[in-house]
Amino acid sequence: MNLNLDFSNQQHRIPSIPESAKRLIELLQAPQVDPGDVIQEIESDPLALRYALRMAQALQPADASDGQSLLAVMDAYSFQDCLEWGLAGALQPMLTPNQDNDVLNDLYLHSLATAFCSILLARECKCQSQRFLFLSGLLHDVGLTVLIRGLGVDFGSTVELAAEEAISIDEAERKRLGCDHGEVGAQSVTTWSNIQPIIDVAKFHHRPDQYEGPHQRMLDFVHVADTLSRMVGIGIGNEGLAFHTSVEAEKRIGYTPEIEENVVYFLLAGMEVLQQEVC
Amino acid sequence: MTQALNQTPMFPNATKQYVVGISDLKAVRAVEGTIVTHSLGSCLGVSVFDMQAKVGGMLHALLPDSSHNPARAQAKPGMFVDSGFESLIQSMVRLGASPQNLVIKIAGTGNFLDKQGHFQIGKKNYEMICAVLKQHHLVVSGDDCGGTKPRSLYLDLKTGVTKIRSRGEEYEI
Repeated sequence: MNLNLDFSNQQHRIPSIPESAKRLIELLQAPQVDPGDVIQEIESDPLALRYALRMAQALQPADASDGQSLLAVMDAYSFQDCLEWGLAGALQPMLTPNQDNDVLNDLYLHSLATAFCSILLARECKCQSQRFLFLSGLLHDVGLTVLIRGLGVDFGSTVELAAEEAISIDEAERKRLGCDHGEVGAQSVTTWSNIQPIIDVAKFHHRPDQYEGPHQRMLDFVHVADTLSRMVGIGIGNEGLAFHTSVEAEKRIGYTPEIEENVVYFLLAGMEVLQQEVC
Repeated sequence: MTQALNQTPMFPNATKQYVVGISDLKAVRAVEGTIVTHSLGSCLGVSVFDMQAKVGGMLHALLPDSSHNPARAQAKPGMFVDSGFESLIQSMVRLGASPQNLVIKIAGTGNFLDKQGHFQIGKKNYEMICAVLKQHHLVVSGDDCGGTKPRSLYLDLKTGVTKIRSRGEEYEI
């Protein structure tokens, strides 16, 4: 059944983001930021603080200790990193609104793994730190969250249609809903912020070769990270592997089997740390 | 719905469940209980059972070939199909299993929709387990491999019955 969902008329059903997340987005977009303001804002939200500390620990599981402070993390990384990780924590209640909803919980775990994996990929590919990469990974599937949570779309029916007709989830969504979760995600992120890389990644993460814009590299990292996190099965939902992958994206970021092995190794180790408290 | 289904016991009379994580393996000698591994995408799941010795084992391997990184394979043999399978069989033999009695079943090794893509880990994992089994003159008694669906693999230590749970379906292999 085609629901012919006209998403342009449904934007009032996009969930709003928590107040602390709004303040952190303002800081993220400000031309100049006082690190003291960042610390104060992150420390005012326990989830944001816990998330920032855990992320630092997940990136260096052998070296980091439980007791490090936010200031120490900012010294080791950057306040931009801390800001992104803090915002990811502040967004968590919006991304996992219902502990009993297994589809959303799987989706959240997958999104977290993709975000973390994007950072690892950039590191292994010797790419300079890219602003908004972590958040782009975390929010790449936010369109699915909005469809399921805000619009009550039964994702199981989409998965069934994809399996029956041997088509991708995106194709099944367009057939059934008239739009795909990438388009919904891009519109959703636009209502929360105007951070263009996150919007572009949300829209094109399943079709990076069709993108023409300045954030190609970031898109490629998230696309490959999305693929890898599904491959290893972290947070994999009933949709499984019903997606197309881009060989060109792999080529553009310089992906090799050695990189793959390192990334999945650190991904598994890091996710063990993150799942202790974050999930 | 994956989690809700996983919370329903696959073998209701089984008293204990041993969970095998990603890149992990487990060998158990027990008269009852279940060994399970969840979230098989491109990864390979192997269930092995010796009915006479009452020894069961399971592997959840992520990558095919340990030769790229022997040090990592030594630290975590379950990460790779070849080192993981060797390590699993050795562990089972130490618990009293006999190689000639082993019933081996495999699952997972899914692939993305692209036939030409680089992400052919599932296919490579499948090819590697076939090569390793051939090398040891062992055969597979049941399998559920390939495609795009996610799977959980269960082994009943009382009966040796091996089942798959995927997208709300349950079936024996």
